[in-house]
Amino acid sequence: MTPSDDHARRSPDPPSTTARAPDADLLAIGGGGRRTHVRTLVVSGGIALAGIAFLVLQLFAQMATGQDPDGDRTWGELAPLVVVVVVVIARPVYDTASWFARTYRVLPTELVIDEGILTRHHRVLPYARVQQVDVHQSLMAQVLNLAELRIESAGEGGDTSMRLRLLDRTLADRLRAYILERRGALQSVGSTPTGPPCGATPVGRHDPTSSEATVPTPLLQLDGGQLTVAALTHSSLVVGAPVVVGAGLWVAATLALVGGDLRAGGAVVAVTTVTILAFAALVLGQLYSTVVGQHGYTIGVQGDDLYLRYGLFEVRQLTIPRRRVQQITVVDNPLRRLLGAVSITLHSAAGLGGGQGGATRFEVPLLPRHRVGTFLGELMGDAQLWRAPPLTPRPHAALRRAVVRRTVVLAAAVAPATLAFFPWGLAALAVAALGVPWGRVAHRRAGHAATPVLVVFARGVLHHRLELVPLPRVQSCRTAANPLQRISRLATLHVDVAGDPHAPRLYDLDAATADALLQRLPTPSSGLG
Amino acid sequence: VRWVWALGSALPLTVVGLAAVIAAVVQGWLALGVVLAAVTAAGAIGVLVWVRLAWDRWTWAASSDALELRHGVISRRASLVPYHRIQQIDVHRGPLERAFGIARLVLRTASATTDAEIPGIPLDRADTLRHRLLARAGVDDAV
Repeated sequence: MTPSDDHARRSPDPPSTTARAPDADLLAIGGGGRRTHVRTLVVSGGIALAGIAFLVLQLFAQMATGQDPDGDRTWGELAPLVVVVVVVIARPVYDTASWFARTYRVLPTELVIDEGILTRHHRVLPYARVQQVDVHQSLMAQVLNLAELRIESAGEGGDTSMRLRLLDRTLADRLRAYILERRGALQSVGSTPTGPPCGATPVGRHDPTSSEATVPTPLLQLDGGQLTVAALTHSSLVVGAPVVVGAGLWVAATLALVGGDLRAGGAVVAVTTVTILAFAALVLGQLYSTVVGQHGYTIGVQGDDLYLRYGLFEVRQLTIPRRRVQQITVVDNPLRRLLGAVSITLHSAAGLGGGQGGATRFEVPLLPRHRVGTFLGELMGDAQLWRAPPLTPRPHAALRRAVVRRTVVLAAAVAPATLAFFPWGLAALAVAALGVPWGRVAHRRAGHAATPVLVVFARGVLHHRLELVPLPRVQSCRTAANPLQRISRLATLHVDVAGDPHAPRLYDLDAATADALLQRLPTPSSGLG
Repeated sequence: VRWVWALGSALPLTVVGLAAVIAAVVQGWLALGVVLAAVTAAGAIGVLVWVRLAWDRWTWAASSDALELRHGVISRRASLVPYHRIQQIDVHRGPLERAFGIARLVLRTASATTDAEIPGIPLDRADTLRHRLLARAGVDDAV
């Protein structure tokens, strides 16, 4: 890769007055607008060209058929095909025009992108606001040695990310390192009202020109065997497979008992086969998304940033500053509890287009439970800070509500069957009794804790969830109490954090405790101890 | 603000109810018309009572470092938004609010789930309050 590979354009800005890194020429810092790599057009046009070739062949075949002796086919009948061909041709033309119209400039404090053919857009992303930077390589991009650079800022809409698609792989890596370095430098100069980052004890200032700093220290690597275990114990299988198999077997059994002629027609065999195929599809789909999609999973620390790399066909490198982690969730399910394993999710505040799998979170697919505390300490920079404290259980009134709510829900669910098959249907009401143990387990699992720097919520019967939110990341707090909760002096506490549309919450806290936490959690001084 | 809420809620209900009553009377279904009129009147009174309760329970207080809001008739809600988390403050004015010369301030943080709205601010005070709150807002993206 040489600078000439990216097409230099006009140079409207004066040269940067800041110190120029050795990569300055490569990145053209402070220089004029540059376009992404010309091979980008190969990627965007490749599929379209293949489509054109296919359609043209089909067009000739249709024309040949149209000249056959019966003479039924005419040019008029071929019009839809012609329209399709024109549309397929228009796409690469549009992509080419867009590529010419789209330029980017790397400035010392911000990245600027100008784009748009008819309506011009001028977008500026200050480095200080960068939430995470990803390098994404599709299979085609890997073949062409290109990569897409995605830079995410905080927000909820789609306009929170900037994408440079596609750059030379080396340039993408260098640009990522430069943006992270500038972001760190700019943030250390500017004051932040939230004070120092929670748990972000810097390992060392990231320096993109240092060969040591550009190599992340791996904290966790998962091989194929571990990813297979993660796939087979994934919640979608633990919950989905019994549902699919149970429903299939129930239908098959019903047909076998009352099917009559259907049984002779092989309906039972058909339903059983479909059930087996659905189960296999579920397992294979999960295996593909985990073992292939997260192939070579590596999470580590690079300077003050968390670094994540995974993928076989689609390779992704994600970088997020520790201080930008808004929330950490530790989840397990019955199968993983048997194996003593959990998964961990780190939520960032990036827009919805960023993060892992299009979401704003990084997932650690599998981790031994006994390593959680140590791992979070290594990952976030302070083992003591991220150690979940002992949880405070909910009040006794919450137990009553947990049991009553679940029992009523189950009773309502079986009520139609009870009435339909009265009096034998009364036996179905026994199902409602399951609400008692269900509610007791739910109550036993729920709890909260608040340290000077963390608020922790635990809940869940099937899936045990532990939500850890650093207090400096709490945006606001809410309590809500419906009439039944007010009778029992209970309330629900919501903690609003950036980036996640589902605020961490705990139901049926003691009302006075909830109000005390409401006053305490989001105050500026609370997180800086 | 009570008038705005009352008109915004009771007016559509009353208009629809009266239209149904007139239609029933025109069709000669007098009994149905009487029933619909009673239901409409009860609904309108219920809405007015609801609005009164909602207004009574809508309180907000600006402390030295955070804004606290409390509201809700059936489900009581309380929110606390530190000033330094405020990203943006919108001033909303619907047709009724414009007619009554009031505005609604909507506070936004980096979290989409933040629930912070101050209704019924006189227009001349809304802008002052917005500037005072923004003066205390954070200087960076606060995330």
